[in-house]
Amino acid sequence: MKDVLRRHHVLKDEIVNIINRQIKMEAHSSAAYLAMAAWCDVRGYDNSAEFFFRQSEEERKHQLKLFHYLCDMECDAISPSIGDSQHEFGTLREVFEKALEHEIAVSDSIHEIVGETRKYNDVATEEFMKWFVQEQIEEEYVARRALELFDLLGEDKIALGMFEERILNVEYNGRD
Amino acid sequence: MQEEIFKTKRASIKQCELTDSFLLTFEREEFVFKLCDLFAFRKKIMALDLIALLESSAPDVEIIHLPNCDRFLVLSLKEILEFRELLNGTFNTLALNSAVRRIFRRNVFNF
Ligand SMILES: [Fe+2]
Ligand SMILES: [Fe+2]
Repeated sequence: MKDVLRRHHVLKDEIVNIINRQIKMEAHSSAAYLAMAAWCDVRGYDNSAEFFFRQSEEERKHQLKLFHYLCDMECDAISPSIGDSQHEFGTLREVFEKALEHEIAVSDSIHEIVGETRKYNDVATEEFMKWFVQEQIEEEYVARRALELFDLLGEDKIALGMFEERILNVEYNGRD
Repeated sequence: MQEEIFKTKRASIKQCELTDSFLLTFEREEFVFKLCDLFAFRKKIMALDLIALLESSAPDVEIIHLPNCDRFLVLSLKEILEFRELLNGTFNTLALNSAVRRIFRRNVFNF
């Protein structure tokens, strides 16, 4: 009897489920960053808004990368429903605090997936997830750096102006 | 060529070797599934809320749409249980076959 399961449904159910959960998480991240962008935009923090608009698009790309992977493996990719995002924040700093919290939660989740792939000896998915592990190193770094700018500059009007000047230049360039 | 994968009292699922599809027979009716549709079908059957069905005042049948062949199944509580058995049995057999085939695959390169 032909191994139809292996031919047409490459991944284990447990792996499919956990990747679908990640798809949902990325979709939610994208929406959350959009809300943060809106908060910044209307308060005149244009560059911070731009920062979060870009982040939002990044998260959408992450979502699609995972989504395509499931489709390519002939497994069920589920288009996620997204809950409400937080739209109210006290200060600009608080927005960035939330962003870092968010990224840490995403990293945890990605690491959990890698753990699962090892449990099921799913070497291909583990390899696929490596990109996300690296991506989270960068995303966390950027979020952390942004917060450190507040430590450095403070939060008065002038400081916030200086923060705005710098935020779009924060990027990760790990030592090669 | 078709091979029977699992059988219950009134239903059975066969695998078609030529087309990689599955033939579900139930009370002389036949339904063809691709693997992805069979997965979707299992999900539907497993998601049915039997307690709610028992408690409802309406007759205890569930109407299930099969988009892959655009047909309907009307199942009683007993039949739903039978379908659960059928699908669990089928997927367990498929997984077992997969494990066995995996061992055989090592012989694909017979050197
Ligand atoms: Fe992400
Ligand atoms: Fe992110």
